[in-house]
This record gives sequence, structure tokens and C-alpha cells, in this order.
Amino acid sequence: MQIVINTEASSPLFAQLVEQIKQAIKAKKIKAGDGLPSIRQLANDLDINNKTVAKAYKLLERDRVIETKSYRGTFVHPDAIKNCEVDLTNWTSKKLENMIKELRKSNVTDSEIRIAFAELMNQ
Amino acid sequence: MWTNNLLYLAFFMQVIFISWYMPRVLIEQSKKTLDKHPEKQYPKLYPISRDAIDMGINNFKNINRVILLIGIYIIAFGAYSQSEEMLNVDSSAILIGFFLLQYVPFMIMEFTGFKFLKLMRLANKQSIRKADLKPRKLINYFAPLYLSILIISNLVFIGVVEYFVRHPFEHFGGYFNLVGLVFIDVFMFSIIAWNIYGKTKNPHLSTKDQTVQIEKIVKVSVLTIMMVSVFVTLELIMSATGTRYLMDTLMSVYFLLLAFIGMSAYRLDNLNFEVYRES
Repeated sequence: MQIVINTEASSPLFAQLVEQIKQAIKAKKIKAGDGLPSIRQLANDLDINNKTVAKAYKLLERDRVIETKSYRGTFVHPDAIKNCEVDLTNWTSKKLENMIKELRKSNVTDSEIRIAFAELMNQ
Repeated sequence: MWTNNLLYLAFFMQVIFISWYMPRVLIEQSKKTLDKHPEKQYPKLYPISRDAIDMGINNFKNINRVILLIGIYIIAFGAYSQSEEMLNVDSSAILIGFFLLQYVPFMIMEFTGFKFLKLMRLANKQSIRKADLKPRKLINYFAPLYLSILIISNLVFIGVVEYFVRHPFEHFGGYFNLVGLVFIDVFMFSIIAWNIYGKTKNPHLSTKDQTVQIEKIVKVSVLTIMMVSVFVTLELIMSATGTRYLMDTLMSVYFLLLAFIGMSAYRLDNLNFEVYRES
């Protein structure tokens, strides 16, 4: 099973990696319990920064798509297929969309929303 | 006298094999491969021009010719002077020095190869990058045979050292003898690990070819460790049994075998050159 990334694509590399690994799991090209390459190996093979792969692995681990067993390496999570369906980005977008609609209904201006959002994010 | 003749025979084979036959085969294989995959159809194979590659090949050939002549001179000097020692100096020193000299063009070739691959990486403008989604592990490249060879050869040497610790002979170095073998083990395993876990040197190499290359490196490294342990084991036995006069001949045969092992890994015909075609 090969992973393919495009360094000139508009989506960030870590997102491409996350998407590719999820797709491979959904297509059952890699199964629960299968080992994944180490961060260093994947970064070396793709000629990208270790941090990019680490970020992708961290997100996949958070979503319980993969799991890291100390010293033994990284493996596909037993519930990976089910967890692949969870799209936190999409979920976050929907939540924010509803919130913004509600604020606009209350006559809050877009700039006020932006300022408030930026302040909260900076906390 | 017969030991001297035997030494010169072994040395002659060492000179001919490493400085004449090996370069000839390597050059022939390289030229054949380049002719079969011309610059126009396989541009990714040429980060530098064909003329520059040919110049490098010619330099490699010429350096080997000079070393071949030096080797022949040493043999002719021995035949003429009938000296017990090569060039009237310590034969072991000449053998080691000459082997290191023979190794120089191959080292240059190796470093040029690294430079060549670096240029290939710099010239690689492809935005699409591929990688295998499978972990590479040391154990995947070790056939049980190699593992057995490695363990047995190390154990035999340790056993022989242990025997001589209990029954020492004059000038025996004790457990210090193990240091050399440990160094070779660590060095060879570092090379293997560097190839398995390190950065991909050739950006176009297919996963299959990469696996084949790593397997070759593992094979050569294991056989080298085996050769070193056999050699040092024999050296100890010869020192203990008073047959050290055969040591120089053994050393020459050992250098020859090391070169043979190195050469056995050099094959280009089984690689997929389609990856170098213009996409």
C-alpha cells in the first residue's frame, strides 16, 4: 500500500497524510492492528519534515484511528474504520456556522464576532 | 620458499581480481546500462551529462590501471630479488597498504555515487511523492540463514578467544581480541540501519528495488562480518600453532574474498529503470 502526496496541492501536507491514511483504512488496504511506518521513515521517504508527519499522526491518534504502543511502533486502531467516519473539522465547522447564525440574528456585526473569536482563541 | 610462492600467487590473484577484473566488470555493466537507457528517453537518470559520467568512468579505469601496474611491479620485484619479504619491507604492511590503495578508486566511486544521487534529488522537481505505508524493520531483511551465519561466526570467535584465555600463548591479547570484532559488528549494523531507516538516497527508486538493495547490503554486511570473524579466528589459531608464516597468504586471500563479496552485490540488470523515464 502506497501513500501519495502532492507538495503543490492547496491542502496542507499533514491533512493529505491524514486523509490518505484514513482512505487506506476505509478501503481496507490496511487493517486494524497493522503496523505503520515510523514518523522518521515516512518523513524520509516522502522527503518532508518529521514534524509534518508527527502532526498527522497526532491527529490520527486523537481521532483513535491509529495508536502508538511505546517502543513497538504505531498501529491501526482496532476501531479505526468506525472512527474514520468521525470528521472533527466538519463537526467544528457546523457548530461554528450555527453559532454565527445565532449571533447575526442578535444583530452582532461580523467584525464584533471576529474580534471576540480572536480574543477567545488567544486566551 | 613454497610459502613465498604461495604468497605471490595469492597476491597476484588479489592484484588481478581487484584492480583489473572487478573494474572491468563494473565499467562494462555501467556502460551497458547507460547505453540501454539513453539520456533522451531516461532524463531522470542523468543529473549530469553522459560525457561527464564517461569522464568519471575513464578516471576510475585509469586509477585502477596505475594500481595494477604497482601490483605487477611488486610481484616482479619479488621474482627478481627473491626476497623473503615483499619490496624488502614487512610483507603484511605491503599487503595491507596495497589493499587500501586498491580500495581507493572504489571509495572514490562510492563518494561520486553519493554526489550523483544528491544531484538527482536536487534535479527532482516532481511534486508527487510516494511512500510505502509499511514499517521497515531490521528483522524483515534478515533471512534466517544470515542470522545463523552471524551468530555462529561471532560465537566461534568468542569460543576460540575463551579457549586461548584459558590456554594462552605468547603475546596473546586476551579479551582485547573481541574489540575488533565488536567494532566491525557495530560498523556493519550502522550501515544496515542507515540504509533501512535513513533518508531515501535515490528519489526515483521503486519500493521493490529499494527492498532488493537493502537486502543486498544486509547480505554483504553479514558476509563481511563472517569473513572478518573467520580471519581473526584463523589468525589466533595460526599464532598459537606457530604457523604464522602463512598469515600473509591468508591475508591476501581474505582481501580477495572481501572484494568478491562486495562485487557480488553489484548488479544493475535487475533494477527497474522505467522510473527514470520522462513522465
